[in-house]
Amino acid sequence: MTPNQTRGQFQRNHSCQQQRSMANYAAMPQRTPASCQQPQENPSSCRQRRPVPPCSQPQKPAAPSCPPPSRPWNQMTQEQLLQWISMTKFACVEASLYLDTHPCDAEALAYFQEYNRLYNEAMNEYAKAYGPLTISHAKHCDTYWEWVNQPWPWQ
Amino acid sequence: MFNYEKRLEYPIHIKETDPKLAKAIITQYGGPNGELGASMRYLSQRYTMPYKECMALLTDIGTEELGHFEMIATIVHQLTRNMTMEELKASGFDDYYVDHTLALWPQAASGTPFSAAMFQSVGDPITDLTEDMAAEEKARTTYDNILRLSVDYPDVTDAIRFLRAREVVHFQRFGEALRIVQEHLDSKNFYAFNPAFDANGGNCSCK
Repeated sequence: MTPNQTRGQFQRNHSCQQQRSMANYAAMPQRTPASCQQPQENPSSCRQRRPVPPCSQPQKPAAPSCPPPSRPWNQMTQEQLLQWISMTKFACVEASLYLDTHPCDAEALAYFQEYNRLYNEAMNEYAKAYGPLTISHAKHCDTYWEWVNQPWPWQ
Repeated sequence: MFNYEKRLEYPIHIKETDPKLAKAIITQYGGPNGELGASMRYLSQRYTMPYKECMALLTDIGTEELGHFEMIATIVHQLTRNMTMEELKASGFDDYYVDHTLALWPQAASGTPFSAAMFQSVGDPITDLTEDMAAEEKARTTYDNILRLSVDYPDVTDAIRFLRAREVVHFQRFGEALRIVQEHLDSKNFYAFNPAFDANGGNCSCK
């Protein structure tokens, strides 16, 4: 599969609005965290943030409830499963950068939780079938330290 | 603490060999606008950020940049791993080859070695975040230039376009972090004191 086909699949594998959502996440409007319950580590001396004025930019779309992958794990090829892992993890990374500056955004939190769950499931499935992608996932290496196996990502 | 995931952030499968292009692209490995400089800049600045959102953002973007550092290394590696001696001499890659063979070494396209002089970490949040926004735009422009040089290689431009898009997103994130810093300060004079250092703002860990 050429990278261009891979890239097209990156965008087509999902029927939900993941790609557009991620593009929209790139330009998050400001929102008033009126209902924000930020945990206060030291309430007596901690300064409250002033509320953010509502902004005239269009609101970001609702977080999609993205369907799980179109095939079950045991019908995906190794490459497809790795691609699914990359997609779900990228959604988590995008959401986490947004949440770093908007920690109270409930929709973004839900979006992150959903994709994080899918990502963790996929990582476990991949480790069982093909070997660990992190050292924490090396729990199936009983007779051989599969972590050393190739290919490594740059090969 | 850092963990490693055995996967590139975006897949790269380059079948061509072009050491001349590799010599240009290596500038995003160890050059003034490159990913190593970006990562070290953000990971260095985060310790003295007075606000937790900024610490988190610098940590997370600095970590992502290490993944980009790996992607650039992969591009250079794949463009040079199958070189013949003739290709090597014809492309002008011989002056890199003589010191490094086919290994990766952080340098700019000019041959200038990577150094901390290619980034700053000044210890004032407004200064540091402004530096970060400039850095992301410098990287974007460098990727624009690389795209013009690599039009003949869709395998290469695919990965470069991903990296370029990430730079634009990071720029917007740092802009939001700057807004957060300004909200904590006196809007009549943002420069009245350095909240990372002066007693007025304090260095309270709960901000």
